[in-house]
Amino acid sequence: MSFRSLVGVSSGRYLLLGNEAIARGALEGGLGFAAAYPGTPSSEILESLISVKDAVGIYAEWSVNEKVAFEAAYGASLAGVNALTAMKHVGMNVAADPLMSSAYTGVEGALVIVTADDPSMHSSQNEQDNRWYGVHAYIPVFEPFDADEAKKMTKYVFEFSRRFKHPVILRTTTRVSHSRGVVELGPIPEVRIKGKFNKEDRYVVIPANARKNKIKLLEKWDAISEVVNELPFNKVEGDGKKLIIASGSAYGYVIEALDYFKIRDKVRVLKIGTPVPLPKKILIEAAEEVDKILVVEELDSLVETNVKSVLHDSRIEAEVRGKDLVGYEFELNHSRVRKAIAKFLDLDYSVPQTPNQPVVSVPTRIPTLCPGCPYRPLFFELRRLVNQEKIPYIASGDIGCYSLGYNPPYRMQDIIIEMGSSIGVGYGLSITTDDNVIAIIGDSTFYHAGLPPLVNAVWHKKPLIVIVLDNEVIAMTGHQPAPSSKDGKETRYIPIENVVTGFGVRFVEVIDPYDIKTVREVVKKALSYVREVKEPAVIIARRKCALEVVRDLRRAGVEIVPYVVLEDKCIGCGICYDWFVCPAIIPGSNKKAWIDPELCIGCSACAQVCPTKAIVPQKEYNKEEVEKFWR
Amino acid sequence: MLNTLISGVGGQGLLTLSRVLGQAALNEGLKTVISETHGMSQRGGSVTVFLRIGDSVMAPLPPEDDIHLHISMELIEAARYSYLHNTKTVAVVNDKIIRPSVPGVKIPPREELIGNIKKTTPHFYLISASDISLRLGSTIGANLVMLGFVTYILEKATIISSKNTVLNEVLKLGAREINTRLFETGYQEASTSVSKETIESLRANK
Repeated sequence: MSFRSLVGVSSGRYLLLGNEAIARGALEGGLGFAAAYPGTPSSEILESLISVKDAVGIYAEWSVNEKVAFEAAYGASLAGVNALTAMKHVGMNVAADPLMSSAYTGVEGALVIVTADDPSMHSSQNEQDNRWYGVHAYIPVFEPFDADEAKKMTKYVFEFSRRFKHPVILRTTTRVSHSRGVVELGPIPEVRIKGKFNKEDRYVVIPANARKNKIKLLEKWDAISEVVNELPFNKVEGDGKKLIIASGSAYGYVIEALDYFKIRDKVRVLKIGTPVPLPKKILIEAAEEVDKILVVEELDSLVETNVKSVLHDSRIEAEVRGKDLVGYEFELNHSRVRKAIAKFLDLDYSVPQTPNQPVVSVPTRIPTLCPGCPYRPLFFELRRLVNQEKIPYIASGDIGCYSLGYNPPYRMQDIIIEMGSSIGVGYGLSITTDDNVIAIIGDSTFYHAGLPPLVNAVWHKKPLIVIVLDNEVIAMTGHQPAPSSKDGKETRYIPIENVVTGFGVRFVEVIDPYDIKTVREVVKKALSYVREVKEPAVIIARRKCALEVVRDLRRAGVEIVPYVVLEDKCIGCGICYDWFVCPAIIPGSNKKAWIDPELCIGCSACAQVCPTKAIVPQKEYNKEEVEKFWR
Repeated sequence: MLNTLISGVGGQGLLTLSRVLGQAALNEGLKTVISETHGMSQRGGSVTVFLRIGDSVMAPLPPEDDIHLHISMELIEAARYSYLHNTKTVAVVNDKIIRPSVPGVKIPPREELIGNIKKTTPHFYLISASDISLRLGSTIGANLVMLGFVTYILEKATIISSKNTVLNEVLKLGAREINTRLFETGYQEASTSVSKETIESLRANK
């Protein structure tokens, strides 16, 4: 069942991804407006909402970055429309400025801010615990433990946010966002996407108003802190002298661990659905006559720290354990939680209990550029150029599929810290080193956070080469559109060359990354330009994401002809599998190359790197027809 | 409770396989939780999906020492995660090696990979799913061959009541003719090779 097919369904149980459950809960909660920038593990929330926007009549868009998406949703909510924005944890750093002010002004319609955190960093640069943002900004944080609760909670927070005229943060972690579970559906109410903005002083945060806002904010916070004690998401189960407090995703692991030890009825469990603010009354009641408390939560010790503070103020002297037994880093799993509970309760348990040690040493399998990826020939040629001509360089990298250019043999991402940093950090290095600094950034990342640092580099006239890898889509997160996407029906295509020319960049070249001869020529030209003129040069390497092309070819019924290696011509030099490194090209025992027909997508890019022209299509095909799909 | 690990390489159709199986289980009224891998590791990386079926399931991941069924789309990945096997684990593995894209990478020989997985459980089945799929004219159908194979075991172990529960979900994927043939071929393979002991081993988790 696709998410879209459930629009007309108003009851029953369905298997939904956690993120789909959040989208569904939003619709059932009366959502009218949604905006986001994609980021794993949050992307499917807006993807789901966009897939039904016409059927339901809501407004939903991919915005250019998290700050803009946040502001858009905030603006909608000021008009009384119920709004949602969703982002990965680091996206909230980008949106932090309006986030802080939104608590001061309050809102009118609901404003629900979803943050999807990524413990274990499956797809992220850090594992920050965004519940702290709630503490920092005086915004309540709700935290579901599974898909069904995610739906119920999302629906509820819309009502909560409207009632208090206050933004609400819904925090998930990867395993909540990306776990599919059985979700009970309810009806979707009539949608309202138009409202009215009432001009009020609270929206103008000049100091005189902001001071009044702060006093009101603290009053509101007191009221919210009371109400969280009445919510069904915070509850006490079982009984005993020992209390385990489980926040969000920890709850499922705690319950299964108690089942495992067969002590479910002997231990008191406090399930926390609102870590910020903590339901103090429920906590104090649950802690009564308890001699020991264990707090289990994913990432930081936020609940644990607060529990200790509440107990201290209430003169309750139970011993509190938590991170000393559970640990801070990475996501929870059964053995971690079992081990912590066993220590806490003096039970017998030894970890690890995996039946076997790894049985054979197998090579690690890192993520890699896909077969046909237009970034591969570009990285290949860059590496070859700097090696052959011994060019001192720094490759200032960025966030996206091209981060994989860090891997050998390319090694063309020397620094990656956050979205847009390639240009800003590269700029600093271009002033303070004598190396040729090459900033490498994707099209969507460029529009997300690359514009201000490029303006700065042009303004200050610094010798920086910027290569924009333009595959016309946000590829890593699942092919969401960007301003660089050409085929939008409701959006306008903004060519990157127009933007950078407008900024005053005087060296602008658009190239095809599949044409490695031109790649080399233009990069060399840019290197001498920045050396001589001492101004930024921008190269736009444009070709569509191969995954999109393959999808379009299959949809159009165009046959994909894989390439093959002519064994008698192949000399086993290894350029194609050890330097070009397409996953579809595999060395045989005689070192000659072989192309896997399950993986090859017939892109033809490898054919030009073969010194003996041994790579050819399996059969004749209409190259021009296929090429149209790549442009 | 049935804990299934599905392993392979990003792009091999693991998510489709797990969703079809999960939806089929839900259609039979069983509580189902699937923990998926999205994002970066889908770009040709090592991917694991966990499918859990049973009323007492509360957490997204299964316990590390309690994997009942391991479906692997690739031999290196099968070997990588075979430390999670116990002697009752049923391992169904696609006879396919995808070389990690690392220059000069050393890959253990196929026989060594197979031999080592075999040591972990007597319920080991090697399926030529990729070859079968290519033979039937599809470069992207190995996952459905595997699904057909596993469906036979689940049906005989009475974890699902009928193969049609799964086949009905396969039909919803489109390309009905080829997908049915892929699925049925896998199912037939299993009917001639899966032992009674394997079926009993899985039935015990019902």
